[in-house]
Amino acid sequence: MTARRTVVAAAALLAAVSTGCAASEPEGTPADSPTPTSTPASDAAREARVGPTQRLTFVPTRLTLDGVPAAATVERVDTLPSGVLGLPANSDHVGWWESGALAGEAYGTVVIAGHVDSATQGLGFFAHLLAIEVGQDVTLSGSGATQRYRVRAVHDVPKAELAVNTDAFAGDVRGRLLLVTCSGPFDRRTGSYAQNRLVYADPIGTAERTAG
Amino acid sequence: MSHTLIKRGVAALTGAAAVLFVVPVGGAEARAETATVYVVQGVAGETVSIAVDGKAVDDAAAAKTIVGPLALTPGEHTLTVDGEGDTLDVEASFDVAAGASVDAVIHRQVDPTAAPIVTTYDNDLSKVAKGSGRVAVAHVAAVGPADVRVQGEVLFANIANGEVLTLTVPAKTYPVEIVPAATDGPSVLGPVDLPVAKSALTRVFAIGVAAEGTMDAIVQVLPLGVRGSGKSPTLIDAGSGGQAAELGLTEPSQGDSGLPPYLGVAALLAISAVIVIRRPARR
Repeated sequence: MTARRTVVAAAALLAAVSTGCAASEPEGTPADSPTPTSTPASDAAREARVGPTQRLTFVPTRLTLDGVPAAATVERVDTLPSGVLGLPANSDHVGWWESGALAGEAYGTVVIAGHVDSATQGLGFFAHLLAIEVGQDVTLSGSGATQRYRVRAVHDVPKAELAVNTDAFAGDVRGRLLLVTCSGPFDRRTGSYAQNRLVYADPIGTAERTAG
Repeated sequence: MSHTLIKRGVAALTGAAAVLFVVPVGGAEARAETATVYVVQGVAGETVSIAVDGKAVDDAAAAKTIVGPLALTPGEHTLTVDGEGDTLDVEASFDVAAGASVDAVIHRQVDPTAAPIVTTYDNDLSKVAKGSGRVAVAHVAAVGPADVRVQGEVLFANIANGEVLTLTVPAKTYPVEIVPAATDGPSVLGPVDLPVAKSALTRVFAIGVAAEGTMDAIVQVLPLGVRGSGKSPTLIDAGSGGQAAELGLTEPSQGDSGLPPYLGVAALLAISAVIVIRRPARR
């Protein structure tokens, strides 16, 4: 309890920063400046302060991969009625599955999928995903916040396996990131790949505010 | 002795009575842009009368009573609390915005000899992922900064009087314990079972005076929407051109390395930079 009051100044700074970032919110209430712990009843009700350890969460809008200078725009995508995951029309963009976890959440899977290539656009941004190795980093950012992840595992699975084994999309897990694209042999007749490349990454620390 | 009573007396936390009065304040024409307010009586062991803008909403609100939802017009309102004698009398003004959902909590300060105060908490009613619940823990008790532990793990750290921490978790029942911050105990509240419902905001208000053994918790549950379809995909089709296969990029990952053995990263970048110029695919 001794170090408690020293974080009050940090909370005030966080409050000042957070009020300037309209869309990036700590989960829960907006912050307010700290007030003394014991005061006589005053005329104005106090607004709750967000605790200094409040975890940030955000919708990712940019993604960077270790070793790739350019960042990718992240769009919102979701499962179509057919069960297929919708993907951005632009193969330079990747898609964040909005039914999954937000970046920075303590639990659940943040799922981001993208084209490895396209019949009309050539190689997609996630061709770079095929080169990603265990130990490399992935960064998501959005609404003035950033979360870094470290790749823990890389797998190739037959595409049909995703329907049978849905653990990839689990919500009841510690917060993690799953990046998905296609891999394996390409069938020209059907215009599709045989496998999915799954890249699992774990968060390094919690999401942090960044300038802008 | 009183610690044991607290631990056993609050065996399970269930939602407190959420609706006693529905008092529309403001005309019908304002209904489309009203704010929704809940008044939470968080002064343990006391019964008080509560009025909003001079109109009584509960003449005898026992501790843990939640009055509402009240539909209030956007702008400033006054909450008046009247208890036995003068020591519990509070009058506080607060502002609400159109469309907001707010809890106005009457509660003890850290110093229990000081008069109670009113703190307003905005309710984050944004959607959560299917199968999850949003938990907002608010410290409104006469006790120092605390940690909230679940099965020995600190999920809400270092929260002081007047503060709130929010976390979205898988919906299930959690054994919860509140201890002084950065300690293993002894607990000031709990362990108690806290059910966290899916598609809901579960607000927990820790109230009472630790030194008097009156620590308790108010639980309020508000419904939330589900983000997205809530359906896991059964197929991710992310390649229609075959160019990556032609370049040999889609060979099986080498166990956990993921890198084709005969191509360095620099070569891959060079090749992909060339292909992005959009040459038509061969054949």
